[in-house]
Amino acid sequence: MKKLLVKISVVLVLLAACDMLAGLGLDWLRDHSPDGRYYKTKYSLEACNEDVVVIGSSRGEINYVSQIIEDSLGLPCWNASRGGQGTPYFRAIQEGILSRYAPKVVILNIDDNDLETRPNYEHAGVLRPFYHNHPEIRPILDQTSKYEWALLKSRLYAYNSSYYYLIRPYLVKGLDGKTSDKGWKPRLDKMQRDIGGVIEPEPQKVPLHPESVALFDTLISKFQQRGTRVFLVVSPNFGRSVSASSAIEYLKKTSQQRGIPLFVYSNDTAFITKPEYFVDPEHLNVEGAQLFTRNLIRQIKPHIHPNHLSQYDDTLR
Amino acid sequence: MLFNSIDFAIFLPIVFALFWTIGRHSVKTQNWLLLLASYFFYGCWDWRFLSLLAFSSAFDYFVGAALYKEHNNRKRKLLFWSSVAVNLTLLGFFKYYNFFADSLINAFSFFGHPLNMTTLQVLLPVGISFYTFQSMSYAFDIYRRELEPVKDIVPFMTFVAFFPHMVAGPIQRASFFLPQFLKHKVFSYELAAKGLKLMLFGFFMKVAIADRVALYVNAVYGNVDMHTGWSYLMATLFFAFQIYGDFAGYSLIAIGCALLFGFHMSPNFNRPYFSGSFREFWSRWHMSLSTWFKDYLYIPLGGNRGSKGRTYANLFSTFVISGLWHGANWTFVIWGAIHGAFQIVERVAQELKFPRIPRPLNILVVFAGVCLAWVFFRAATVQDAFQVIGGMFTNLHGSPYIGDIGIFAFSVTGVLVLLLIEFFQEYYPDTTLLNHRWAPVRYATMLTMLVWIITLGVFDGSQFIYFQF
Repeated sequence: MKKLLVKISVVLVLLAACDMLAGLGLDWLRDHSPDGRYYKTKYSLEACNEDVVVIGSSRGEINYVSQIIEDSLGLPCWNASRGGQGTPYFRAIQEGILSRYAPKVVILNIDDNDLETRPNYEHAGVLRPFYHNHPEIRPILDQTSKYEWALLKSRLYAYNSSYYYLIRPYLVKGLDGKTSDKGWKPRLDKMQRDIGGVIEPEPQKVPLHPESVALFDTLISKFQQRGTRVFLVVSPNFGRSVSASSAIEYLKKTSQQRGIPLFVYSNDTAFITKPEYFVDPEHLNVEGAQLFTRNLIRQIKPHIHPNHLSQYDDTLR
Repeated sequence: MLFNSIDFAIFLPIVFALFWTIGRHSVKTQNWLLLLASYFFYGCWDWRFLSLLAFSSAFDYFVGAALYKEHNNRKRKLLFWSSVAVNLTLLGFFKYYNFFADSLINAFSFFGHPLNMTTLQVLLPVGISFYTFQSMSYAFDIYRRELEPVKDIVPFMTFVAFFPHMVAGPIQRASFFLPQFLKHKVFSYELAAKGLKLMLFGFFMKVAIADRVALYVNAVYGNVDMHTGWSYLMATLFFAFQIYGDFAGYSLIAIGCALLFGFHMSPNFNRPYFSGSFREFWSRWHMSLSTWFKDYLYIPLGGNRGSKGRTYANLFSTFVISGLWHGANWTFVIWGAIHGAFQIVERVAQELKFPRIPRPLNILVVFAGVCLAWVFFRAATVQDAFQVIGGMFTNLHGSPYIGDIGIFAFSVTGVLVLLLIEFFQEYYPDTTLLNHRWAPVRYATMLTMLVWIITLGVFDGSQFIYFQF
């Protein structure tokens, strides 16, 4: 028995050493990434200081052109959205940002069914490499599994499945958007599909998921408590009109109760029937994103007239 | 509690420590400890089904004792069939009630006579197919006078409930496995070390291969309408390795875990995708179930002792029943039927003395046939399965769905590494690195596997596929 325990200990010590060494290398790769997903998350958590921050999933990342927002509002903008993510990721990014500063404006892209499913904490696992250096995001990541806090003692585990996206920016630059795009991920293709103007009928209503709603409320409250002006936006989908899903109705209610402007584009025929603006049914291409951002900013601008911003920043008067 | 969970990583060392400390002095204590640990392990899923497990075991124990004492053939037969009836009734009710009720309703509706019949929301107790078969084998073996009954009920109940194999096998024959519960276990470093290595390789197969490729397979099979032939082909190929990695991985963990306590289990897999015939495939795939069906169904049905036609019928029905054993769905029945048909075609080809083809080509043909049958095993419905098979041959335009390129790349790498390892195990067995004579090579291999599991494994606590059977 003693022999077995000694040998198990040897393997565990060697594994711990491998874990530590590999962790150092991986941390270096994460910290020196020239662009890409890890660069973006690191910047969002640790360095961004822009007045306007866009937060959302892939729709947020692809549909909102930071430069247009910046030029139109005259305020620096950073798009902190990330594909495949939902409210748990948004909350983590929020914690990272609010631990350093409070942006003046946050544009929050919410999908038309975002609050109808359980919050996907597992997807927020992409933040694991940042767990050690960012105590503020730990409570959110700890929700991904029962023993996440223990598993994350391992640096190798923190980088589980991340190698492809960690190494790719060193080999091919700009695949997830250039740094000069300020978080926006332009998609160049055009969708090869026409529906002849026929759009899918309104989907059946699905009940809201209380956990998602609670998380969303926290997200909004925390920004409002810090004096950030929040804008809620629902992006358009090609060929699908959604104007009265449970999530949208909840957003409308929240918008009224909290005085948050809400802009619903998911039933806007200027987009949803135009394949030339989409790269796939859920994401706009460059042309569509530019048009969408301009339209949106035109709607947002009156709300952030210096008078409206008075309580947030006197310098803008 | 799953093998690939932190709960199990806490549970196993505790049981191991208790077994070899307070349990080391007597076989009685060892059995009691294992019995309690196994019932706790099973109770973690659903404690309500513990009574079912206890009832099934106790019933067969008493039938076994009565069978041994009884000399009247008629009464022996009656006792034996009572064991079969009770076990199959339990299995039939919990696993197949809704399947047969739904099938009956659908059949009547098809002929224009809607049937008003109640279906129940019957919960499937995890592992019921495995532990009832294991428990039944005890009565079988005593009936055939191949085994003497045990005097004490505790070793028997431990044999049925032994946690490493209770929920998904390997199904152990009473004549082979039960006597091991009657012998006092003495710790052996060699056995424990071997067990840990098997467990390591099992975890590698499950977490780093099966669960990784499952992400792609689920994306395609979960939404067959959205995909084309190339994606179906890719997903089916991946599924072949998913189910292999999942089940062979589980079996290795189970066997390795049993070795930690000094128990030897019969192997369950032997590199099945290197089989040169379908017959060989079934001597390498889920071996414990194949031999169970051969000994307790195929041979009692008459095996190959009758005419050719009778042999084929026995073979076919054994495979169809084996398919149904896997799950209460027509997809499994068809899967079994396809394998039955493969066996018959192969035998006919042999009898007609078809010219032999090189073994590598045979391996490819068998693999292709097995993959074709896997479509039915994986698809949610028979319709989906036909859509996938049809698409594989007619819808081959465009490029396959890749999904997340990182996940796809890790899946392909994992499958290739597994194939490479198996190739060396098959053709150069002396070169296996995990058991290499040089300690540095062994350690390096263990570390590489551990690092691979941690860095590329999927830790979403996914179930083992065979737990549902």
